[in-house]
Amino acid sequence: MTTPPLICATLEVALNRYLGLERSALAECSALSGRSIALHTEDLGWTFILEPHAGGVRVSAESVVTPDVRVSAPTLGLLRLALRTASGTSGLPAGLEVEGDTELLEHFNTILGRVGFDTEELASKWVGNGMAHRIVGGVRGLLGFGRSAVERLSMDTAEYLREETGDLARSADVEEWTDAVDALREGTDRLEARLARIEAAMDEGQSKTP
Amino acid sequence: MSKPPPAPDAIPGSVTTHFGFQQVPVAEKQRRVRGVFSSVAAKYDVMNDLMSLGVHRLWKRFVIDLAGVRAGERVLDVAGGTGDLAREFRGLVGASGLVVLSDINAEMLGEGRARLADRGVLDVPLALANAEQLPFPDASFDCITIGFGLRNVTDKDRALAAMARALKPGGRLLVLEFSKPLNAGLAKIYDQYSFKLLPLMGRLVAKDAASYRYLAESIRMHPDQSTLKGMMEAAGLGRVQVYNLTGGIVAVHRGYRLD
Repeated sequence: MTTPPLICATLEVALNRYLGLERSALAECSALSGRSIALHTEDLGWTFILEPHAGGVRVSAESVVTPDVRVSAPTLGLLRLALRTASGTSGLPAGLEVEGDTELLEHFNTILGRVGFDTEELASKWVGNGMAHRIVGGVRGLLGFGRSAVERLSMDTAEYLREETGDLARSADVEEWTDAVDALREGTDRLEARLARIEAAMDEGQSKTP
Repeated sequence: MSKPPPAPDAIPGSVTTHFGFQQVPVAEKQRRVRGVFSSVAAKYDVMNDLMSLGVHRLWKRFVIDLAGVRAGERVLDVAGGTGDLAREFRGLVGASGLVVLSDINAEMLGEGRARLADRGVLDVPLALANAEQLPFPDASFDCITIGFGLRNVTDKDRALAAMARALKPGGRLLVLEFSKPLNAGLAKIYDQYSFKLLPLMGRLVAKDAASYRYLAESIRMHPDQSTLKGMMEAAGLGRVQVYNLTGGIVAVHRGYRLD
C-alpha cells in the first residue's frame, strides 16, 4: 500500500523543524546527502524513504535508488525506535528487522538524539525573556502538581481499598499466606513420601510370608 | 534543458487556447487574464478569504513548510500577486538570503508591494515578468514557487521549463494550484459552489461576476494532478511528488532540478 503523501509531508516538516533547532544537525545531515534510509511499517504496509540533505531530510513514499538501510517493524516498533531516538538512548530496540548499513541508521538516530531545545528560549521569541521564564516555570509547576496529584490519588485509593474496604490485601498478608501455602505443600509432600515408604515396607513383609 | 512539448491547453496546429471555457487567440489570452487580475487586484485577498473560507491560508502554510526554505537561500515567487508567500519566505531566508516577487500584472504587483510595505517588508525586489520568459540567469534560485498562478499562464509547459531553467541544480519548484477533487460527491458540490456561489460572491464583493466566473472555468480547464506531474517531468524536473489538499480541490506539486 502506498504511503499517503500527506503523511510523508507531515513527517518531513516535523523532522525538519526539529532538525532546524540545531545548526550542527543540519551540517551533519548535509554530510549524509545522497544516502537514504527506508522505514517500513509491516502492519500498515507504508514505507517512508528518508533522504538527508543540507536542509534537513526529505521524506517520500518511494525511492528511485535502493535505500542504504531498510528497517521493517510493526508501527509500534518504529514508534519505540522514535522514542528511543528522541530520548537520546543509543542502540536499536528489539523486534526491528534491519537490512543494510546499520551504521548509517545509528548515525542518523544520533543526529536526531543530539537535537535539544530550550523551551524558555523558544517562548522568549514571542513573549520576551521575563514572561517566558514565568510561563515556562508556571507550566513546569503545573505539570509537577498534576503528576504529584495523580501519584497521591493512586496511593490514597490503594490505601482505602486495602485498609477500609478490604478489597485489596496488604503485601505482608499476601506473603504470610503464600508462606503458609508453601509449608502446607512441603508437609503434604513429606506425608506422601512416608505413606509410600510404609506401603513399600508392607509389600516387602507380605512377599516374605511363606 | 530540452524544448518542452507543445502546450496541452493549446489546440495542436492552431493559434487558439482556452480562456476559461472559451477558445481565444493565444495572443489574446494574456491580455484577457491581465484584465481579470487588474479588475480583482484590490479585493483579491478579501475574495480569497471569502471564497475559500480562509482555508487558502492553510494551503499556503503547507507550501511554506514543504518548501523548507532556510537562511541564505534565494527564492523566487512567480505570479506572487499580493506577496503572502514572498513575505513568509523573506523572514526565513534572513539577511543573507534573497526573495524576489514576480508577477505579470502590474496592478497585482503594486498590491503586493503595498502589502509587503504595510508589514514592514521592504527588501523584496519586484519583477514585472512573464512566467514563460523569466528574466533571470540559469541556476539563479534554490526554490521557486508559483501559487494559484500556473493555470492563468498561456503556455504552461514553457513556464515550467523557464522555472526549471532558473532553478539551481538540486533546487525545488513548488506549484500550488486548484486541481481535480478525488471524490465524485465532493466534485459535484464543488461544481455547484464554483459556478453558482463564486460568481455571486464576485458580484457582491468585488463587483465583478465575470472575472470570478473565469476563475471557476480556468480551474476546470487546468490539468489534473497526474497530467501536471507529467508536464513537470517533461520540463526537466525529477522526483515530482503530488500532495492533495482538501480532497484534491487543491494540489501541491514539488519537483527538483536534478541535473
